[in-house]
Order: sequence, then C-alpha cells, then structure tokens
Amino acid sequence: MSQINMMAKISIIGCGNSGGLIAVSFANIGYQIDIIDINYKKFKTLPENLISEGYLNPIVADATKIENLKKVMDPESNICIILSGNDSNNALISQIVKNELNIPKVICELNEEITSELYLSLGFIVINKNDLFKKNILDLFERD
Amino acid sequence: MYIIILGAGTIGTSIAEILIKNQHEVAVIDSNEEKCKLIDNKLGSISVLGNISLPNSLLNAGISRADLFISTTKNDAKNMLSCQLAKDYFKVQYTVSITHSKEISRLLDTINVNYTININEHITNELIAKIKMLGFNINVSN
Repeated sequence: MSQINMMAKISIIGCGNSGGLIAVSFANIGYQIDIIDINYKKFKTLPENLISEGYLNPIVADATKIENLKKVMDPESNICIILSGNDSNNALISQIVKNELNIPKVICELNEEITSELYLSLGFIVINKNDLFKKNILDLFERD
Repeated sequence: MYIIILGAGTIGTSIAEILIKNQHEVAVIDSNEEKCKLIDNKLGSISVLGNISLPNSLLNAGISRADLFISTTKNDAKNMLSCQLAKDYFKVQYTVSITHSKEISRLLDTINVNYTININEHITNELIAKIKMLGFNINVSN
C-alpha cells in the first residue's frame, strides 16, 4: 500500500459504522479529519478527546446538496472518502466532490457490481464491501 | 422506440400514457409495488418492480435495447445515478431527467445527460408568469 502523506487533509462523508471507524483510525495516528454527516447524533460515537484535541472535526451537513457541501468542505482536502451507506447518494456526492469541488482523490463506497464497475471506469477509487467480503471468504477457503 | 421511465409517480405515469398513445413501447420502473400495480391497471403490464440502487432492475426492464431513458424520481441522487448507468454503462443513446435544483441540473449537464428539467425552477417561472398576467409588476432579474 502506498504511503499517504501525513500532511494530507482527509474529509470523510458519512459517520456510520465504516465512516466513524475510518475517521477514528486515521485521527488516532495523527491525521486531521473532517467528518460530515446529516445527523449530529451519529457523532456521539466519536471519542471526545480526538474532537477536543482537534484531530476530528465533526460537521453537520447534507452532502447531497451542492451548496451545503461547498460551504462546509475544506477546499484544501486532498482526499475525500464517501461512505454515506447508500449507493445512489454516494454516486451523487462523488460527482459533486470531483466536478464541483475539484478534490484530487475521491474514494467512494459502491456495493452494486455494475455501479462500482462504472465508477471505476470513470476514474473513481471504488470500495465494494460485497466484493471485499467475497474475496475474504474465498481466501479462507483457499487457505484450507 | 423503446423508452424506459424511472418512477411511476404523477410525472412518470403521465409521460408513459402519452408515449403509449404515440405507439411507443414503454416500461416504467418503480420500487413501490402499489404504484406498479396502479400503472399496470391503467396502462397495461408495463411496470418493472425494482430499486435503482440495484442496477439489475434496469436489466430486467431491457435497458440494453432502450432508445431513451427518462428519470422522474423525487430523489436527485437516484435520477443522476440511473441516467449515468443508462448512458455510460448500458449505452442508451438519449437520457433525460427531472431535477430539483439548478446545481444538480448543472452537474447532470457535465455528465452529458441530454436534457435536464429543473421542476422547481419551472414551477416558479410558471407561477410568476401567471401572477404577472393578473397585472402584478414583477421583474425576475431582481
């Protein structure tokens, strides 16, 4: 895996199980993370100390609205990870982040095979949970 | 022509009805079983039950032989993704979508959806035109 520059500014959209977990893991090793969710209650799971020390910056906003996202998203972000938990919202947010905010690296969760294939071909970095799960299970079988 | 419409709401149903009267072959996709039944009762068996988050519903509707794809849902994320799948993955020649904001319309233009209709803007303009007809002096550029 290639090294990520420690100066990289990472924005994460969606503070569900995956988004929260990734935000906390990066913040724990010293990254400054903006995490955006429409529902402030989702931020309750984030460790208080990481927020008060400035490693985690929770922002309440509806990321599917272009104007909202433009207001809250740091234009200096190098990487945006999109994990809203819904393929069509993730697709829309990816397009906004790429075309309207010009963030260089967009990583997006898409769990439908055809949608992930399309977005890969459009130049996005795609995470497909179903695919990862399938690969892990197959690996387990091959190991036996 | 074979035309696929996403959304069996008021707009989707009216367009389907007009297109069928004009001898076009039409399929309407909706995730709501009741709405599918309603449109089938009204216009014949044209509905395909399915969610756009599952592109398989596009396949079930026969997207690969469609000439035109029209997205009419209330959700702009679904409108965008379905048009993009239709256009870039299934190579449908023409895609048209409704949207609910000028920003999303602009985004759909950048991904080359043929036509986008911002229904909120449309309704606002219509209302202003009618109010003007009542004799009110309204300057829209203000």
